[in-house]
Amino acid sequence: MNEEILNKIEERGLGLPFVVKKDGETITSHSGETNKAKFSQTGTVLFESIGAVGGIKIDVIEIVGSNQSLLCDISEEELIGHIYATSQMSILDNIWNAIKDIRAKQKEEVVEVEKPKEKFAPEFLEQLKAIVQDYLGDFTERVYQNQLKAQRIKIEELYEEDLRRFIFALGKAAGMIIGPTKGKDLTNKLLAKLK
Amino acid sequence: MEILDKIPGVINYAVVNAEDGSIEKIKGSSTSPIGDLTAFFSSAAEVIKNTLGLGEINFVSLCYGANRLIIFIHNNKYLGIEVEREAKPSEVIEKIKAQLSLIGEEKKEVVIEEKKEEVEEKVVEKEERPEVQVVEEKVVEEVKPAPAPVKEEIKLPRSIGSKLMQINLLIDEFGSGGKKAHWLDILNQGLGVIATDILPIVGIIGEKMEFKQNPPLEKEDDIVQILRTLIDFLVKKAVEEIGSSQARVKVQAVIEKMKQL
Repeated sequence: MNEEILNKIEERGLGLPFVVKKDGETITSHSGETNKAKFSQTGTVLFESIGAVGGIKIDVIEIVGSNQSLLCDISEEELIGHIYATSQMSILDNIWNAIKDIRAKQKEEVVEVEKPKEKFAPEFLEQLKAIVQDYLGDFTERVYQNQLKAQRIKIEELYEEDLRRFIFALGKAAGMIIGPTKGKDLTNKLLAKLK
Repeated sequence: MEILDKIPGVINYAVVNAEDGSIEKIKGSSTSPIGDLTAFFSSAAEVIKNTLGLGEINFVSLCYGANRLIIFIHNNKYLGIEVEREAKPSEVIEKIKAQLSLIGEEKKEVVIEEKKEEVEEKVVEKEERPEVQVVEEKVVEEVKPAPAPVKEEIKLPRSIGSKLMQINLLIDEFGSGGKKAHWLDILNQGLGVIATDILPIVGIIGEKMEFKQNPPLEKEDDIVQILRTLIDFLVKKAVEEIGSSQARVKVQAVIEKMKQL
């Protein structure tokens, strides 16, 4: 990830973009260079807060202040931050497009250096559902569908991290119906299937 | 803060003390840890505000899964309001602040009315003292009629109304003998895992499950199905807790009550 794309975004008058990786590495546009330490600190505070709550995948954080606002798009390994004047709320859509550009650029770079992640077939979900059926009986369909929706699982784009999140959510929800012990048992069975 | 129970769109809410970060109240049915989220991110936002010079915080918004948590300060407390992801934070905050200020106005009006009555009593007692008369005029001037709350009249289709009634009667029956709070907790759990699709429009208000707004007519069948599953859930829990024969007696009692209505 180079600074070039961040510079281009800044030149479009869309505020100040930056990227903070989980390991602390921080990338800014040219004029954001002087605030690099502040961006890095912001990233650390947000990653620590997310880690402290745990078990919940936060993907967007907005802090709207009276002068300036911060919009963060968060993934597993990093966050893309964007600072803009609060009075310029109307450019939010453009900022989102800029974030998409950054993500697309990152994807290209990842493809060059890493093997693509293994994708699971939609049928895999049916196998999980069959296991859930043994535990939840008539409640299966509703709980299963509710959790698919709540976790925003895209059936056509199933990766291990999504499935893992879905399994833990299913186990937790099932625990409300069949008790936490059986809920945990179900989680373990579903995780075993994933391995 | 009970007014938040009645606002359509509010799935859950948490109240956090802005002074010490302690969680004062969590209410709702979803499984998200909104108390912790509100406490951690209100404090994180304070740090970031100072680091980046954002100015005073208007609100913080977090998106996760299908939901969004909006955090803002009101009367020295952070309110964390969980809504659907698509909801617009500024609109939600506006709606909530309007409702909260309405309550504030009503309280103020009661206080003023009480003061007015007190002064009137004094006036009767001490009619000869003109200065008391002046005080009375001043207080009367402050009395402003509070705007009438705009409340949508809830009209439920018969099919939904009957299932809702059945749920509330089951809670009364299973919760008899001082166990109502426990059964309301169970109902809350059931809502959180079974009824997520209707969480923005239903809630436990007082000790009853109620609709906060009219359900969309095109979803009547879906909603009936959700409520039916919720009834099955409650009965399953009753069987676990009090045994099948006792549960059957209580379910029968509810059926009898419904026949009489």
